[in-house]
Amino acid sequence: MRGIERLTPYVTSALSLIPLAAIIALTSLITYHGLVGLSWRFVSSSILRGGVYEAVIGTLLLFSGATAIAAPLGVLAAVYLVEYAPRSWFTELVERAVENLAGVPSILYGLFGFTLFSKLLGFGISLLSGWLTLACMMLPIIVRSSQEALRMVPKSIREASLALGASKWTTITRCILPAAAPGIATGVILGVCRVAGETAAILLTSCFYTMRGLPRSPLDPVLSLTYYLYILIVAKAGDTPLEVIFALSLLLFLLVVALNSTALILRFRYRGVKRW
Amino acid sequence: MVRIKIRTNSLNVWYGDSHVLQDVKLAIPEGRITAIIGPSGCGKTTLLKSLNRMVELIEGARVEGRVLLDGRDIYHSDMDPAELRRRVGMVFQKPNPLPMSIYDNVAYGLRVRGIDDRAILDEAVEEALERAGLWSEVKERLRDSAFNLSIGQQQRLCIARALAVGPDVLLLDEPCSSLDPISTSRIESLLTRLKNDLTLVIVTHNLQQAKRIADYTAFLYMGRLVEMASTEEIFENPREELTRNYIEGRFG
Repeated sequence: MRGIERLTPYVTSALSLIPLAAIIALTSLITYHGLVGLSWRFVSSSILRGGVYEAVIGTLLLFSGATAIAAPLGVLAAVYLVEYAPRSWFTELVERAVENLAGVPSILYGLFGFTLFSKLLGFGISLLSGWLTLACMMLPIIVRSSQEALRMVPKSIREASLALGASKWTTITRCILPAAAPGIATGVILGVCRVAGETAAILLTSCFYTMRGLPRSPLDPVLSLTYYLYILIVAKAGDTPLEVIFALSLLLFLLVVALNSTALILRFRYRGVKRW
Repeated sequence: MVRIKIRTNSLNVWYGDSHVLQDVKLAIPEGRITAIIGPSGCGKTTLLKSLNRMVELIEGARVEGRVLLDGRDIYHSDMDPAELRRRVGMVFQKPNPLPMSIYDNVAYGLRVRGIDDRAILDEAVEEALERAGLWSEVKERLRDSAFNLSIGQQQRLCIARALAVGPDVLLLDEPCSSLDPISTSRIESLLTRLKNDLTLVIVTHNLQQAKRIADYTAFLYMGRLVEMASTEEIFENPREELTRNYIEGRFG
């Protein structure tokens, strides 16, 4: 027993290095191979000319549209749950459901989106179906972190506003939401992170391998970085130079890291600024 | 003979199963300072909060009985709580500026009523800050965050903010409990000045404070009003033994 006691710090600290090592290995592998092929030309020229332009624009279109749908819905749902819903078994159930939805595998969202949006509602394999599917994936994350941000706003702010004759809704829009805004923004970005790197959900709902050019309407299919990468690896294996695959990986990696860092910075500043 | 501004009649408040105010019958005179004193947990804050229906925000709170403001029952269904709270303002134990500028804090109550005219707001903000004795200290930095003020200034800002809405009554819940002696005496002299055109009700833990500024004092014990009389009577010659024991510091 003594021996275990003495060894514990060494073992645990050694184990804690494993994730660090994994991150370093992943980053350096992708960067090392990716830097060779990554250039402005690569990013800005068409797929037909060996670039990834359509996939970059497609990714931006997909997650910005999904955010535009999911953010307002998610924030309003959180406002309802925190500020209005009476505490009952029903709201408890909704909250548990939201928590569990955040962990559902994305292929299931893809299947759901394909069945509901592409088939049943007839949106086909399209940008619109992708937006709606990705919005469903983002919603639980946005709802949960907005709830947290709203709960962090101290009671004294609510009291101050209500005591001045403001209605509940005015209090929410003028005091509580602005105070919670950095926390909500962090949640929205985390939601974007989840879908920006998403493959399975859009594979089934919004992308066609044969798609060329940019979508002309929300009912057109679209290409994305993740989907294009998948195609290059799986379908065109052997045809594509390795540096192109790694350049694309690096681009995707940078995008997700940038989004995550923004969320981190926001959260950090939020902590520094708050002084009630 | 002074006019009665607020009258409560068999006022009862429950939080869930606990009966925190029992049959309180109280008359608050207009244009005077009334202090509510009593040991912790006796229901002072609850009593104060039931005078502008802030008590309803507490989960599980239930109110019975009547509270008449100028003869009108504030718990009647035709009374809009927002409208009521404009007439009966409130200042809290811990200064609670809103996370915005000094100016916006004071203008808040007017803006939520839809007043957006710059000139009107400017004038109202200056007047309210002036009445709260804060204008000369903040006039150069109205755009600063309210959190940059000292705690004592923050509390006067909260008073200014409440005054800007033009209330008839101001409820103060231990407004000096987190302040130093100098800020406390500033607020006390401010309250004494304000009673010329306002009815003030102050909950306080500090008996000396009640003695210094209150015209009337109500002693509350375990959810019941033991007695209310002029401050002099309560401190010099209380009717009830319980009051005397409390005043003399035998419990608290």
